[in-house]
Amino acid sequence: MRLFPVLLILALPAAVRAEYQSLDELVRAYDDRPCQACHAGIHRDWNSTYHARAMVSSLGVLRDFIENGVKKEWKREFGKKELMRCMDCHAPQLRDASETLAREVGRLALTATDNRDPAAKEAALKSLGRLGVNCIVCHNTMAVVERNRLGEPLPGVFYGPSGRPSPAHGSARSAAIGSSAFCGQCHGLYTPADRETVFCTSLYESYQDRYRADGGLKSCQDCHMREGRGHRITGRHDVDKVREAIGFEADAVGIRQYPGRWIPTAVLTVRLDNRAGHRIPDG
Amino acid sequence: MTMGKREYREIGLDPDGYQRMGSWQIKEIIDFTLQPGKPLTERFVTELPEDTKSAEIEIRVSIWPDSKTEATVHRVVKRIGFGRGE
Repeated sequence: MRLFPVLLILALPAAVRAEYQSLDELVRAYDDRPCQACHAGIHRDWNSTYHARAMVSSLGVLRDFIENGVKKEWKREFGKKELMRCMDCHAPQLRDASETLAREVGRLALTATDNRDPAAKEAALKSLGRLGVNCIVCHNTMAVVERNRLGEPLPGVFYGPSGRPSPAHGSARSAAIGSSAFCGQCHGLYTPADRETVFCTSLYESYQDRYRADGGLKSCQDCHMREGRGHRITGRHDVDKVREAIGFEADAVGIRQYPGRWIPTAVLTVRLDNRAGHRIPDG
Repeated sequence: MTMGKREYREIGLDPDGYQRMGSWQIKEIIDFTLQPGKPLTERFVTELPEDTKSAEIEIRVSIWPDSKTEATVHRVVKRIGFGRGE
């Protein structure tokens, strides 16, 4: 049988560390649409997740932070330093935004939440919807957990658990991407450079201090990605996943209390068993 | 009638002990959530009207993945009777 070599040319995002001045430029640098050419199923699964909408699903909280936190409580202007307290996890590509672009994203967030013009809101949502935790964010930006030992992620290289070579892009192995430490970069307490913590979640701490301390050995990926779940990475927004995580039994009996009066009394016992590797609820 | 309700949640606090809702304001939590690997038994006892012969009890476990959405995780209905009465 004759083999016909195929030359595959894909224009893939470089994710080069730069300071992008416009949202279009930043989105182009982190464009995940080329990934669909070879990873269509994975991309479709990911697109159903809250990772895909990590920016737009958090706009209400971001708006509160800008208006009530930064402007009223902290009495200062909103800029990139403030934006990144949220976006370092919700849209890490904004690390490469200029100060001007960061402020524009803040303005777009306020437009998307507060503007009375439905068209303006829709346009702002559409712009911001292009940001989030996408393929490049996980498989490049956040892929190297031990940056001091291994260096920054290389531009144009996509990190995965195997590092299997690809004709379409540079590939490298990341041991961390299959470990809980990878998820813990965002799903735990966040301490920015000024050391004032942002308490969005302490899920990773719950995982380490309870589940691992009690002898649990599964990783986040074992429960949330393996066994057929893949890049759907199901969690609290998936009621089937929650049902799997919470064991439930209930028994009820009727008795009559207080001899002579014999008051009908319902007695109910409910047993709940958190079978997850962390507290519920959290995220 | 409601026999009882239990909520499993965190209360976020600022350093003065005031409950806060913003992640930038919360610096510690009071943890009332379900802990991993720690089965929990809850008991509910409710007196019913004296003429009650039987009752149906609906037990529901729900989650609020966000403040606007409630999803039923588990639901069961138990039917109970109260003997012959005197």
